[in-house]
Amino acid sequence: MILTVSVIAAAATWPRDMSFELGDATNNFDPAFALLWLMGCACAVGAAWQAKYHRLRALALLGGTGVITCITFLALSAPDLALTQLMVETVTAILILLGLRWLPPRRPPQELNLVIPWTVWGRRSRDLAVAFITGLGMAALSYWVMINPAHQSISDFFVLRALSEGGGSNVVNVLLVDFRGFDTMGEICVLTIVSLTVYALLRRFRPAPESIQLPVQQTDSVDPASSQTPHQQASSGYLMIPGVYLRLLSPVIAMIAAYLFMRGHNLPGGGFVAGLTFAIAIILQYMLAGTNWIETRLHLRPHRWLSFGLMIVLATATGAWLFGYPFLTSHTAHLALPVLGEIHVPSAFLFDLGVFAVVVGSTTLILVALAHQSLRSHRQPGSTQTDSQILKELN
Amino acid sequence: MEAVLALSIGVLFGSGVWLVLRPRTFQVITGLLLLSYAVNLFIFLMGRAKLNQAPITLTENIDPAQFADPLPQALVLTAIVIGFASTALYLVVLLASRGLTGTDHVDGKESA
Repeated sequence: MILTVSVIAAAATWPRDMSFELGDATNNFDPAFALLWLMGCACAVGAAWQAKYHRLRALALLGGTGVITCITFLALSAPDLALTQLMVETVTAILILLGLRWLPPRRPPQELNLVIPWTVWGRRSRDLAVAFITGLGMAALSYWVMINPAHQSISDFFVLRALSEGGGSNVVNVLLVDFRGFDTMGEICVLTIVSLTVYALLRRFRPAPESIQLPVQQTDSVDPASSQTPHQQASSGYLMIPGVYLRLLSPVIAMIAAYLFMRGHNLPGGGFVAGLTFAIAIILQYMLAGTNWIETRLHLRPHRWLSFGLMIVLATATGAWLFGYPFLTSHTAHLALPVLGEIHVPSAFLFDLGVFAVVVGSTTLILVALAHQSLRSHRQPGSTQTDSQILKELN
Repeated sequence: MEAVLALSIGVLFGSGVWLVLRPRTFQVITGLLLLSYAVNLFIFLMGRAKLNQAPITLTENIDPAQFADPLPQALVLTAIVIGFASTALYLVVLLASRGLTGTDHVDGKESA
């Protein structure tokens, strides 16, 4: 880490006279930005260092890098990316936290009095050298690209036609739902396939024998929380304050999701980020009151969200044929309503609605399927069935 | 600013490569996440770093040079979401492999 700090400190003083000669680069050196990335790099190196023995620490550091990436997107004129990155960051953190329980504990060799053989050190230094060289190469490549002026690209086409032909002023969103709609359609198919694969893999999931028992934290006889259900903890136990707060907040989050969705075609927002925001609202309730309590009160059915989403997208895409236009052509209408005034209704809205539904469905399906693993009664070790017998039954 | 960004991409990429070469599955998933940050930033910066020029065209008569390049942004937005999906899939494969083989080594067995 000290090495990184010194390298970046050296770099901070270096580019001033470089970029003046090269012209096209933005000449401003911003100390705040350099400090930001100093933290970002420290987080990344820290995560690389801690990932073996301290998984939670590595995950937190990884989140730090993610947030700084998100701030960079925001600073460099990409508000849509910043929003999406922030939401994905949150969902990824929850996802990996749900998985941490099933991994084996790993203790540093110093605690176990193990001597690391020199072959291991050899392998590590080889890997370190490879990592250092690729990192350096990547840095050189990106610097070389950035100091050279951009060539004529097809982007001007999109910027010029987004409003006049796509009907929306947020070029990134118009690109996603209109110009490159086919690509987005493929993407949501990938999301659906991944979430169904995750679901299918987890249905037959058998954890390692030693992680079936409840974790130590949940069996502490002194801690009153260990004898309460998550719902009791949230309504009268130590989670009462977040309990009240998060329940009040959930309609607000849902409304923000709707807001992000509605403005997506003209201002930063859109189906992806709205879907992720809405999924987070649901996941927060799961985290708060526990899977059982939520599922007796709320029937989510993520599979239906997935299928409705895909059907809406397909219907919007093929709907253009009815009017004699090619697949995925969009149309923008402006409706004048008595109270709301003029509203902007592109057919891309429907397409984005499908994207929204697929994102909500797949995110909740993945996270809820993982969360369910802690509730299921897993086959205890030492039962008479062997793995090969079970595999035979499955086939 | 360009030098800071380039170095940061280098550090993220290098840390990611180091982790991907490690033998434990959790290290590999952390490494893949770091690699995806680095690659997303790299693709995004193909449109060059521009301040206060978000690609939001409020009027019709505009000069495209006044806006940040929207194309890499749209590609990276897709990449971020797909990155989440592949992380989820990898996590589940990791957990399944851990359950079936009893170890978190990438080879499914502890090396000697």
